[in-house]
Amino acid sequence: MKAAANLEVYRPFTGTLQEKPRAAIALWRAGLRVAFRRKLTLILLLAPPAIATVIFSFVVYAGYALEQGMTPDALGGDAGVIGQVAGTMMRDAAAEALAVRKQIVGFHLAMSVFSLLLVAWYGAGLIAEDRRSGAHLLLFARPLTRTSYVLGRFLVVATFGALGSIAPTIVVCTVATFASPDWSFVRLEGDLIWKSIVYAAAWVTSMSALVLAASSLTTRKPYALAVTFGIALGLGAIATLLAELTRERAWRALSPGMSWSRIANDVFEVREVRARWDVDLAYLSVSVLFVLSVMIVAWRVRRMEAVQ
Amino acid sequence: MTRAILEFNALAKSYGKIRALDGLTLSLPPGPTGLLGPNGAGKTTLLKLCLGLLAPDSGTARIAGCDPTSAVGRAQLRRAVGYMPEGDCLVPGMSGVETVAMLGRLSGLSPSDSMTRAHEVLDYTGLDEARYREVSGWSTGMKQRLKLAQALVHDPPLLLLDEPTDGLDPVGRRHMLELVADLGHAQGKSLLLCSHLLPDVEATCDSVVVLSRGRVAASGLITDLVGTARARVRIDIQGDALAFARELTARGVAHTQVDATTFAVELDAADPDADSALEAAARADVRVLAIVPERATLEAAFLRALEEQGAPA
Repeated sequence: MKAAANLEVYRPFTGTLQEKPRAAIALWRAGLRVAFRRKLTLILLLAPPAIATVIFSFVVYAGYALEQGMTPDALGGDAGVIGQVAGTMMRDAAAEALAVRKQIVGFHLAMSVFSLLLVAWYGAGLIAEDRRSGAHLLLFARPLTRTSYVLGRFLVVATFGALGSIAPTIVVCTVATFASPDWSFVRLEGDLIWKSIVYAAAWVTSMSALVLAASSLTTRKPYALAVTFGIALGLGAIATLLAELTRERAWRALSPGMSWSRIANDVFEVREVRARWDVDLAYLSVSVLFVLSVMIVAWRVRRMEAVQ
Repeated sequence: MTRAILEFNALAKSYGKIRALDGLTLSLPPGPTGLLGPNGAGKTTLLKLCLGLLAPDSGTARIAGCDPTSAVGRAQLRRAVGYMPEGDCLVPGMSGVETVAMLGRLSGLSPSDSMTRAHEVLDYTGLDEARYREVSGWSTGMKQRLKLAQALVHDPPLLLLDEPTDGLDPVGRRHMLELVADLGHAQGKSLLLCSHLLPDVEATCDSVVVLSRGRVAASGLITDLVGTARARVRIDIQGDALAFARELTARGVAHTQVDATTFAVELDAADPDADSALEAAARADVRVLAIVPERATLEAAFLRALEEQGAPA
């Protein structure tokens, strides 16, 4: 039997091509579509921050409820003077422990772990897999600039970082706003809202750049994951070791995690139990890591644009 | 006079001490053209330059009227060029239609146009229901057709096709060649088809460029190149092959011994009937069993061009 191929009619394109297509947005949407295809992974990775958000929202709500004096009644407000005093003391102690400002700092530190997992999982393969599969040949054969490519990839990572960090922050702040009596959260702690969002955004930006740098240095997602966690955990171990050996806490600035924790305490004006170390070192540390990450991505993507 | 779609003037590009392109000057008219050459001849470097992915050390180039060395020119030429690379090169995790639509968006199509065009070119390349599946599970033939579809999505006037039949079975190869031939002849696309398979080039292209050591070894219409290749005959003999070879050499007849009793003999214009070879056979006292003319092919022209350049074929 003779093989035959039926050719469909070729239809020429009669429209016009956009001079400046929104390439970064197209890459972002494509990246999200690919990521959302694996639903079980997404659910598993989003569940911890979602649960943490619910718990912290409840804690914040409870903190304001205590401030409004609900506990003495619950503890037996009609039990006479001793009961009233005991109830008030317990209420004050609980309110101190559940102070919203403190809770939000703790919330950020907890969320940073979850969002790092999300950012690493969804960002590690982005550039690495493009290089491994050779997809960059197809991408850079289009009128796509390196900036648009990096921005498109960054937006994908940052979206998951935002889901693990910025979105929960907004939820908790919203709960605090509505749970606080007479809008006291907005009136008295209003700076927490914008500081929380800026802090979360800075964290996401920094970690996204780190993950993309790791991705650009490798050709497989597992390697990029190893590099990311190697930097995050390895530097933490080295920083702790050096700080303990030299009894100089400033070595902790080597660790991105500890630096961000120090910055959080500084930004949210939370008193630290242990001796402080210079916050400028923490800012310097995260800035250097971010700049290095950006430089690595720029260098690697520049090499990618040439056909391998 | 038809304006050239690809123009290179004294183009040079080196990688360290290796000269990939050595003052290449070439002008190609619109239409399907094959790009041939042995490994290391400079084909890939030329394709990179055509896409504006490499800057030449010296010389100038104009691709579809655009200057690939300027940022504006690069953006324009990448709209005017569709590139089908060698190898898989597909975006991991995406379905066929998503891949083509996204690449259409990057080329400047609007969101609705990119989806419409994606379906049109996938129809054209014969990818039916498979287009909704992830490409990682596709066969080689389907991936090749998808790569052709993405190169066509923005309907560029110039297509750069790098080994389009690589890894295809006979049916897939035939289908791909039909598509390429249709694009080059019926749809009026200009093609630069880079292939090691000379029959593919012969089947789909009107003209050919042979590169050797970064220079043009031969270029022109395939019919002209094949026509200038010297005619060859295969002579089967019975008797002393060494004596026959000696007599052929003595008469200045170019020949190669294929096996113990078979010789490939080139005929020149003054001796179209192989009289010299027959005289040599008589002198060597060998019996000629058969004289079979060999068809002049692109392969012969290709090998001859390389020989003239002194390059290993």
